[in-house]
Amino acid sequence: MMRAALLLGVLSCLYTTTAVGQTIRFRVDAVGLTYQEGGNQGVDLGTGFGGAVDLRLKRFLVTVDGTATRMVPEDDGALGYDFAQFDVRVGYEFTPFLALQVGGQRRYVTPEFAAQEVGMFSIGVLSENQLNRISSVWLRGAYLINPQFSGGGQSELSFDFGLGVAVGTANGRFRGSAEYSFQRIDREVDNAAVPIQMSVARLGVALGF
Amino acid sequence: MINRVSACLLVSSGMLCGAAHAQQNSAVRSARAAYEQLEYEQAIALGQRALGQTISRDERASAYEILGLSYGALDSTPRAIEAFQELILIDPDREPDPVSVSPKITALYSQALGRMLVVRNVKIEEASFVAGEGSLPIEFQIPRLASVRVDDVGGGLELRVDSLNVAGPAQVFWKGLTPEGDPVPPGRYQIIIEAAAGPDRYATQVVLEIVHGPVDSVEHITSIPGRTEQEEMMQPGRNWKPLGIATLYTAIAAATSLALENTDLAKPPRKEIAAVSFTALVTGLVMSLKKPDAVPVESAILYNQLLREQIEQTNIEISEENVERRGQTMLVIRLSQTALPAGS
Repeated sequence: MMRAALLLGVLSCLYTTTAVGQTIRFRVDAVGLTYQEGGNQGVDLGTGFGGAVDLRLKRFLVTVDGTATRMVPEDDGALGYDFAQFDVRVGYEFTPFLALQVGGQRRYVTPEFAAQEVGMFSIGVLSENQLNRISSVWLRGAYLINPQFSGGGQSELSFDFGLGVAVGTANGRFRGSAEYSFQRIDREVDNAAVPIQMSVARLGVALGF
Repeated sequence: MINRVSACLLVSSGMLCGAAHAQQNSAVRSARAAYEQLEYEQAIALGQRALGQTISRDERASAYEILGLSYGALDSTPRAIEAFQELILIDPDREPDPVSVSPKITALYSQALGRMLVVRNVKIEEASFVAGEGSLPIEFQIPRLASVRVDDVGGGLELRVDSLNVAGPAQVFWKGLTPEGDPVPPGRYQIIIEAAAGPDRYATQVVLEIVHGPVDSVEHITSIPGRTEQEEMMQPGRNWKPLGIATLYTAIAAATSLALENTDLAKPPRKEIAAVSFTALVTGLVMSLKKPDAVPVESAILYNQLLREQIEQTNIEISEENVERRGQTMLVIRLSQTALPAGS
């Protein structure tokens, strides 16, 4: 109860202090995830939830999001595991359709070594296009710089790619979104390919101020 | 702001025009009857007898008129001119009617007039004007060259309206201001027109009533005639751009993710890209089918802005003018007395 009251207080302050040209948006997501790792093995499927905070300050964009999913391997008998991922991206809009983004990503797995934990930086671009006053679509692509793995190894080619669409109210207060992201990391350990590939779908609702 | 309700103020008896004026004095009436029966000598005798009696100004003018006409008919030119001169002194505005009066008589009258110094046909119209911005025209005629002074006397003031040398018609303007530039106080004023030529002098006067009134303020405007505000928003036609953009982005995303899938791994289910692509395409379609939002028309907005600025500027000027008007005085001029000779 105390936490809810505190949250309401924070939101009220944001509502009254948000400046012109500044938007902050809180989002909660339902998450569906497909994860693949190693040789020609099976696919791990997971569902969970996520949350994100998007801040737009004139031409600057900051996104902090996290997801938590319970992964279940398709192979019968394999144990499931928990999967948590956090992303931070900071962008600058050069034009209304194109922004440069840099960021970092960290992925945690429980129990340990059920899948690779990864940490990496990213640099990429974001292209968001307003369909009209209440909706937009965007594409995102990023190169993942020098990923670090809990099981060791290195990657020469890693990238992240995404597609999103959002529809909201004209005043920007409420917004629903669907976002797809695809990640491929060509990991090698002792010259042996142990690739990682992940697809994530997020269906979210956001409250903006 | 000349008020044309009132016309000529002059005394215009018009006997020579043949109008039937009732004469109170029997001698004048008999003299006229004798003249009309062409019995000029009797008319002269009766006219002189009337002048020996106590009669009114109009009757006196009529008696001299009959004498002038009768002497003229008898070719007694000096006496005719003398009688007409007396008539002109009494009623300087009287004119012989060229239709009913012979040219010989008219010529005699003109000779008499040319020898006289009088101020004739004084014409002042009722008017109202803002003190300092308008003036009252005063028209008159002088039959021969003379120095003329026009003065305004009243309200404790004696002001010179104008002075000029003139022969024939003349016009001067009275502004209704004191020497300090203030409006003259309300009250009765005499406009005195005095003509002088050598030893001859003649003056006439008109009495005016001056009333102060407020100056009407100007109403503010809400529009400018001939210019109307334009629609600032325009409803565009159906737009398939949202569907096009959504399709383009979806195609790029789907093609890229399919092309970059790692073939060393098992074929993934791809339901994530399918679900989000479907959502993006449906969103694009719905937004294309949806009635487009009205878009602003920049030229109309700029036009309206300029129009509003112009109205605002005009209203500011009107406000400033009203402030000035509140400090102004409207002089309303009414005529109290017609032009009368003040002396000769």
